[in-house]
Amino acid sequence: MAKVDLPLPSKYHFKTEIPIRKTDLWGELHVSFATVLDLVLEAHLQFFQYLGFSVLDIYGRSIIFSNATVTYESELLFGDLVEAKVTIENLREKSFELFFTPRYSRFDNISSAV
Amino acid sequence: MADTGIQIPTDFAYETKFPVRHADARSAITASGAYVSHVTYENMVLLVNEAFDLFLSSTGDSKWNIAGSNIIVPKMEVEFKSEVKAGEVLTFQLTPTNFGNKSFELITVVKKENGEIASVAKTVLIFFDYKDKKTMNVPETFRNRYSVK
Repeated sequence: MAKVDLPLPSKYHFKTEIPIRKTDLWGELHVSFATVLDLVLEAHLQFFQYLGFSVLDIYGRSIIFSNATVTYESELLFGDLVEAKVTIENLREKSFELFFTPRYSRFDNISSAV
Repeated sequence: MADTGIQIPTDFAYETKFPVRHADARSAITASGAYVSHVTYENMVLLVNEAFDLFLSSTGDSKWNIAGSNIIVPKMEVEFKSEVKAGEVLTFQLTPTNFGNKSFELITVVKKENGEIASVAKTVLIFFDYKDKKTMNVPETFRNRYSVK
């Protein structure tokens, strides 16, 4: 199958950092394709909390998801720090698109022996 | 039941911090009509366990290989002191104590950003050989690393 081309937004509305936990790993190996969506959900919930909404009450309404496109660019391991940027695009009458662009780095600096 | 309380050590072998996720919290409308969203007791155990994994990895160990051995957990005791919500950054202070021939106790103190104690956990760990299905002595390297403290 041809690789899906997702154009990355140039700006973002919200940014959060998510350290990868041991429990995010599949088989003590790496973050699986399925768990990546759990990280996206986390960024999604934090984004709406940041906007001051519950996802169940956005001006009295709620939202459902109709589709998701994910491209997998690199491997996520225990000890990685994911920086997820959230962007709203293509606002229409009843729908909009959310882009989640994760970057990652090691977060060894967070854990330190005392 | 009388609360005997877990004794909190003055010194810790390891400290780490990480944020609480929405997935760690549960949200519901209570019987009295209040909206509550916080870390529930079973998820606090997951967070304490995550801190234990980070503690082990700080010395190059993991649950699959602690100083060349493995562990089983026969007992865990957790105290819940204050409410924790998604988005908070928790600090976990860990230290192994009360070494026996084959076991030790891991004390984990969970603190909120304002210094308030959220939880205190005492986990009993016994070194175990999964091949022979037998308990075994605490590896000397592990004992020497922590028992003097």
